Amino acid sequence: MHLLKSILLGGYTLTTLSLSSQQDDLTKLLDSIAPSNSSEPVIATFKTTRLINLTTIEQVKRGELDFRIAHRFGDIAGNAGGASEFFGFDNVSDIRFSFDYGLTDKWQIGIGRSKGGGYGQSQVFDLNTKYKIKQQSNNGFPLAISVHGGLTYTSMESNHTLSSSENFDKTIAHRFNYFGQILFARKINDQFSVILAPTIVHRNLVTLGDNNTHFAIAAGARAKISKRVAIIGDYYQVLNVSSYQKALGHQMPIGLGLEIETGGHVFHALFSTNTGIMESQFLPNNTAKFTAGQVRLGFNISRIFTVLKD
Amino acid sequence: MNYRNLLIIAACIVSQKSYTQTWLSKNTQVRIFSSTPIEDIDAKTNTAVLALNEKSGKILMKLQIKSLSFPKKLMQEHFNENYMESDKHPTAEFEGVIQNIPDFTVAKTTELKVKGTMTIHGVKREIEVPISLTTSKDKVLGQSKFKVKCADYNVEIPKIVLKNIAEDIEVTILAELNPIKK
Repeated sequence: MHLLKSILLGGYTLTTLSLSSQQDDLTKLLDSIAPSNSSEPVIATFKTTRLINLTTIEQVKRGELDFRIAHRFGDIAGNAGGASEFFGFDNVSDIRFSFDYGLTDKWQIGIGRSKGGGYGQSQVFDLNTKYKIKQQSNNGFPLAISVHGGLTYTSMESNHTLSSSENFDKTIAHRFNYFGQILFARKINDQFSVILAPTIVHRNLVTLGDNNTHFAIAAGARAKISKRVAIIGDYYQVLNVSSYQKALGHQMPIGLGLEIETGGHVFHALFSTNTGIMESQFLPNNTAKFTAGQVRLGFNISRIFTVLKD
Repeated sequence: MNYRNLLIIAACIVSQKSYTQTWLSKNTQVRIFSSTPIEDIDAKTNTAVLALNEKSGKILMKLQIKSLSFPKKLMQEHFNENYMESDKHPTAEFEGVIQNIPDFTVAKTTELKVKGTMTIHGVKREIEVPISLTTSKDKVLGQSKFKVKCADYNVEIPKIVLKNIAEDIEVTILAELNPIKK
């Protein structure tokens, strides 16, 4: 009788054990075949293709067109600002319209036209491109790497003055400037992303004593404060400011802004020291001094249109 | 007496082994569909996984949120980044039990109900969904269509896009299950 009891008990235990192990098996089975998210690509490092002065590693996706308007007002304070100029709202430092199109998810091309930031050369057309070399992934490659570059062409009248940087009489090549960047970015967590970009700007025609080629390191960041609002900022450290630019009082370009996203639109409300929008303009030429109130309000608007659907 | 009891126990253990069959679908199709007068949005994947135990009637399903593919890439990014927060909550899961388990040895289609826990966006909810099971000898076809209310799973839709995104999302699931031999 004692033996029977223990057999019964044993049998019962076995039965329940095998039942519960079946349930665990189902979970295990799923876990074993479920595609793991271990090496998933990291998306949305930044919300849009540009911060304020610095481009990001984000691309316009294949078949999408990004129409952007960038606007910079006049100096808030200082000699050219203040109440008489309604804190800069009466003036326009620079405006740029641009279209960027995604040829593939990794490669975009763009065209733009800007007024020019009051640095001499103005009325600037630009052609630019960006290519994604490497994508950051979870538990994989830690960085996103892209290259960005382009050229600008000034369509302004030549001023025929000898040794001026706006005298294009000699050759049309003097109207062209170039810029190139390697972008290294990392989404540190779902709230915070950073970017670092060694930058080169080459201008074919410059004033005596100025450098044709400038090197700079740019740094930028984005910190989300809610799902659709983030604080963005960027800074350029020019490494070889020319003696000519030093004499003019060269300043490092700084941008700080608020990024607001609503569906297909991204809106930036921002402050920047530099007046110009294109890299080849603000990087070598900026003399606006933050501490002298030569800082301005500005905004960027981006609207994505889907041209080709998958 | 002793002998009979032993037999029953033995039969119990044996029968459990031989009757238990697990079914699995590695390429379960999931479609989500939002419809408003302004815009229809749908996203699909065929990489969800679903397992079914015909003895216990238990169903498990797992879906990687990021695997859902949208016709507009920007929409897909917003879906993952703003709505589902896929980095925080990478999967949607369902764990439930079929009510009135059908006879899997008979080839036919049965309309059934499944009761269980749905986890989306990190929120667990007890739900009951209809399921249609077509049983045959070496294949089981499972189909289900139901609505998921965004607000139930703390998925916020800002007022500005309320015209574009429906508050109830239609979910369609299609699974072709194959038997797992142990």
